[in-house]
Amino acid sequence: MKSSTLVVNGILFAAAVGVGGLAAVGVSSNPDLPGSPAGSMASVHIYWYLGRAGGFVAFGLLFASVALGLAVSSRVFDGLLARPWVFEMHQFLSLFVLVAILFHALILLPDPYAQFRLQELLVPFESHYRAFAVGVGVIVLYGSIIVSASFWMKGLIGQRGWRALHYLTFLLFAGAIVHGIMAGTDSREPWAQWTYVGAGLAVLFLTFFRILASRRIQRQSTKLSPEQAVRPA
Amino acid sequence: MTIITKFFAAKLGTVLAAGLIFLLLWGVVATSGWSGAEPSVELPPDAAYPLPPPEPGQVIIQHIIVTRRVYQKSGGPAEPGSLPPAPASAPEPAVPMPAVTPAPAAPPPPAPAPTPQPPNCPNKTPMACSRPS
Repeated sequence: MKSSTLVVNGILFAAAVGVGGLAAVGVSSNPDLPGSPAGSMASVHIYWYLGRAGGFVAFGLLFASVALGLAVSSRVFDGLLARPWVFEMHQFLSLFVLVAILFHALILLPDPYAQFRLQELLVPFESHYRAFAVGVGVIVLYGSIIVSASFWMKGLIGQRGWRALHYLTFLLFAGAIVHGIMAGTDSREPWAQWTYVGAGLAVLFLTFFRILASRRIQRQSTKLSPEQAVRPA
Repeated sequence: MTIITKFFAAKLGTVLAAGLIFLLLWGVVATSGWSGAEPSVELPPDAAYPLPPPEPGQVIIQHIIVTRRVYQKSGGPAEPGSLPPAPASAPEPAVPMPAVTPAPAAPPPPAPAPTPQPPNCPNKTPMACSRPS
């Protein structure tokens, strides 16, 4: 695929999601919110709510992308799902998660209470609100951009470089959990805690399955090689 | 273009599912409050107005306490927790009586005058002065 086509597709996709998000905000928000004493608290904090909901959606998409990536390499879904489909969805989700993370971050800009500046949301550890936790989130954003871009840079960086970059995903996923727990105000809610614990355990399980599967594949290949050696050509 | 067109239905379904989950979570976090710790409180439109005056029930309680104090002052039994019987001559007031202001406390007794010392015994106690020198 040409890079220009890719950029156009990405912009169109981001625009569609952005228009949808803004439409949702416009439908449910009150135009005279900030100065209106009669405005409800729920409406005043609407950008904060949207940011939090967007954060959980981004985390879910990141989890799905990581899980499908592990499924591609461990072949855990073989027999259930076609491997090209799993790979294609893994690649698509890795781009979709970028849109979700950007939405999660940028929707907080107009929040009248948080009062984030663009610099605080794009430069790690610059935030006035929970600097470390927000900084980890910013690093996760940049790491996700690098890992997603590596799909189209495989020819440049080679298989080994591509694989090394993909190992970065484990750190990014752990960083996303740290960011969610430490920066999120929903971390005390049971449903949020179960989300983090469930996603973390699932990725841990798939990682162990991936390690065991690769060992089994290696063992099978070493068992087969002597037979192949004596087998007549 | 394959990033969107390939397995288009699955990708569209993913986007729609993400949107629906987003709306669901929006509702959940809005219910759990802006800080996530307490439920969001909807302020009534007239919250800026002063609070209404206290109900007259509080005035009646104050009246009972005052009556008991007056009764105890007049020499009645002072058992804790037991209200004294109302005097038979006193009718039940239809409206709460105004609070009786307690009588001002008696002024403290004047300090005792210093003991006069004999003129020939300056700066000595009376006992010392009574001793033969």
